[in-house]
Amino acid sequence: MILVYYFGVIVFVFIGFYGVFVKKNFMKIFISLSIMEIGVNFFLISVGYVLGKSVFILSEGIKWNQVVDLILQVFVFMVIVIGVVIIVMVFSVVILIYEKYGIFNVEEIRRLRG
Amino acid sequence: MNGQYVLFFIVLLFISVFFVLLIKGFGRKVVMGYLVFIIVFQIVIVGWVVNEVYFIGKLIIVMVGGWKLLVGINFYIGYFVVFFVFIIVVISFFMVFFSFRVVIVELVDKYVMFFFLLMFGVMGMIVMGDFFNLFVFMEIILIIVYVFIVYNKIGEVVEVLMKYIVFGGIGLSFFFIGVVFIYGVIGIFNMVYFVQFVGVIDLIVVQVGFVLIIFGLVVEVELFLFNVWVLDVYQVVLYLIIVMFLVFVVKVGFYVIVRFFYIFQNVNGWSGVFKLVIIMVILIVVVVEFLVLRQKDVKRMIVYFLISQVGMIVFVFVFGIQVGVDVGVFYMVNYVIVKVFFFFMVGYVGVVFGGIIIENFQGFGKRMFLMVLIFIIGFFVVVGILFFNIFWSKVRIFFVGVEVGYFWSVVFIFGVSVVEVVYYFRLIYMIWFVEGGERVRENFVIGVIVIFFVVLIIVIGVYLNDVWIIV
Repeated sequence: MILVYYFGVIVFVFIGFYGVFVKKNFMKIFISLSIMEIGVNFFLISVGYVLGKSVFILSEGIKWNQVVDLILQVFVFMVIVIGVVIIVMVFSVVILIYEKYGIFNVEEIRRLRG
Repeated sequence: MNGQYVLFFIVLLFISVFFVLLIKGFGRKVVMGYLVFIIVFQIVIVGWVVNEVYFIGKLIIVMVGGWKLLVGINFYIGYFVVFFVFIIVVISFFMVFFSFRVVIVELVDKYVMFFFLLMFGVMGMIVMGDFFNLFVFMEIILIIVYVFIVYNKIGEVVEVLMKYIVFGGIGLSFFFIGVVFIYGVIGIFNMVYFVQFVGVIDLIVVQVGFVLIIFGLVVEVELFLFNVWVLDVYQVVLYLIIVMFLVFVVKVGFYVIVRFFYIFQNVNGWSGVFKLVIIMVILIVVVVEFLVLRQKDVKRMIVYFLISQVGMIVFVFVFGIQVGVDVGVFYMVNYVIVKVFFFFMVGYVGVVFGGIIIENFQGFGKRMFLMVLIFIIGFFVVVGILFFNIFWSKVRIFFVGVEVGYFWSVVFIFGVSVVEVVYYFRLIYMIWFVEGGERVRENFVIGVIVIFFVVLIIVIGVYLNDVWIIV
């Protein structure tokens, strides 16, 4: 069961890699980076997962020793927040580029260097 | 005094960012004055820590908020940490004065805010005692680096930024996957605990984790061969920001990489990784030295030189012996001095003559006599033909290589570094023997800073043993 999660992680990371190195559109490149980051977060959660145990929200009948690794799940929140900050910054730059030059294509941007 | 004061390393810089927003309405001078005040305050704290650690001999371990090691964040302030913090604070002090001249048209409040944030990230990375928060501070540094690259610029800089973001993002992802690999085996993020466990765990997972971490870090420390995209960054951004990147970002990445080498040296299968690193370093030095030959841009040439120097520093550190550490630290001190000196110099020439391609240096010797004299001394230092600090550092690296039985690699590295001599003499010819324009008035403040560095280089060259002992 847990192996399925790891397989999912690999799929996410490779989709991200493919997008980053093959796509020419800025938006697609950064969306690919986000997908890669999702893969990493997924990996974090998978490592902390213990088969047959509950999520760390304590509800009726579930005790502390019956939950998965809390630390990794908490850390995923932090990673997501930092990731969002980077994505917001990157997309604001992309929007600026589009407003100024009207392009999204990496190769056309390269021509700006003259 | 309470060891918790060390928290000021980080907290002071972070809280200072918010006060910039409050005082920015009072004008440029107030904001710059505020920057000076905070950096001086930081120097006082660092001075206290240097006293505690080096003179009283007390190592400081801070449990933030009193939380225990496995759950809470902890800082570890030992000799190596204090040394790095000290270098960074001193260089930042000089940079503040350079900022007065360089940051004129730019938005000064934003510059100061990001300066604080960059230092915040750097300090955090240095003192942090666990893998996860190291990653967090690495992310913070990268965000600020992105901001600084596009600071008041648009156009060609955009492409460079995109490269940096893509490579930075990939590097960070690898680093983090490596960290999680290790957590999966050991069950903790704390480095001290990790060192205790790592010797008894014989798992391929730890080795894979280590390789992924190192891969992520070398992207940041700008060591890999495919990382020459960083040169584009240095090509387009402000000179001051280059110094900032080189001193803060590369230095701290480098510090972390060295730290990781020592944490992981008990991992089974370490010798395989070790050989891989040695081969990587040799490749870097060889390729970079030949790339220097075809450069027309002086700034780019110096960046290549600096990349090859980082290769040499890693070379001595990875041996994992006491002499290697000593030599590495000594070389690093020299490296910081020389590189800051170079970028201040080239930056100043760029500002005055409007460019730093080799043609801009025609007749430079007759136009700015004092600057050129210093510049030439700098070149002699780089080439290592005079008995200045780089020369002595290289001699010591040579002996360390021989001591650990890697004679062939040392001969290879030093044989290739002779190549760069050709280029430097070509530049010196351009400066002295080609006719240029009118004489230019030299700036007093910049002159004083640069002379300070030259004196420092000469002092280290002359009083080598004393400096060696201090380091």
